[in-house]
Amino acid sequence: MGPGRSGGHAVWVVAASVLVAVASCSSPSKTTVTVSGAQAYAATTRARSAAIDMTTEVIDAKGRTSSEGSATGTYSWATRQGSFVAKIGPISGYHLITDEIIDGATTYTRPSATGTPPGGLHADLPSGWSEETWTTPIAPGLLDLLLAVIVPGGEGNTEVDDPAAVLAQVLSAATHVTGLGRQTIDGSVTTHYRAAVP
Amino acid sequence: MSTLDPGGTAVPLFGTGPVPVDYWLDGSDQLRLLHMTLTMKAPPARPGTVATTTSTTLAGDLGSRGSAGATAAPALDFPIHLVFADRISDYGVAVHLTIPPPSQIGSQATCSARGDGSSCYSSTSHAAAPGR
Repeated sequence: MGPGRSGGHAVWVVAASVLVAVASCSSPSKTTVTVSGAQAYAATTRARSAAIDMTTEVIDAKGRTSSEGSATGTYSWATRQGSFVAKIGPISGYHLITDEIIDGATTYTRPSATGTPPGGLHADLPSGWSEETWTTPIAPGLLDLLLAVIVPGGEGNTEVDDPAAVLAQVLSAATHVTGLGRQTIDGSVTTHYRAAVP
Repeated sequence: MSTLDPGGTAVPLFGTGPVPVDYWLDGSDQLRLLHMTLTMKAPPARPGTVATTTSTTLAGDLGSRGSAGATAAPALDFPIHLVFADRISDYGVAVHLTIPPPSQIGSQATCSARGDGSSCYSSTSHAAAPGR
């Protein structure tokens, strides 16, 4: 995680711990899919670009939402460019906001905050934009892809800023996919599927 | 968060059951919504420690970066659920970028992936122009 994303540390720590366990126990076996991950990925990216809205909540045993994260923006699969605003919080009334620009293998992030920091955090925020250039694009693992659901940029590699890639990867590890019928999402008629990922 | 409740039942973090992942594809097989819920049964153990409690604080980890963080955040009662959703819309929308000028870049790094991890090497680090 780059310096520009240090503000999301709390959520990352919790989420990463969960996802490590999930990813580490994945052992792809028999896959039954109605629409393969590759098909869905190809169909999704064929559109070249889209608006993407990612959210995450941490809900405890008493039903309390202790933290929320979101990232909203646009992304082009054709040019590997995108722009997102990620928000994490509140943590004791503290919100972290990160602007992120993706330009091919280079990402620019700029964190800012609102509210009173829970202790020393504000001083850790880097000044200005942080630029990271990736020299070795990687095929992200399941963990990286799932982390990308939380905050655009994930591990900083632009390959993981892609929910469609998350789906493709998840489906490649799924042991069973069930069709659950039609449902309208944002005005579009869709088919609801549920995959079981070991 | 999401107004949709796919009804997925999360499985215990350290259990043996599969994790349900719900997704919705439109008539062109394009992804419209991806939704998953994960459950963490107990606080994550830190290196060299054993998780023995059933509550912790989100900012407890922030506290390692500051002096008062561990006492400022609300307690979490485990198990906790992490609910993720990706919603995709406006396919074909124009993507506009405004690359920050060099004067506003506070640090630069070159990163590479190695095995399961990655490493970054700082190439420059200087104060960004004020009033960005």
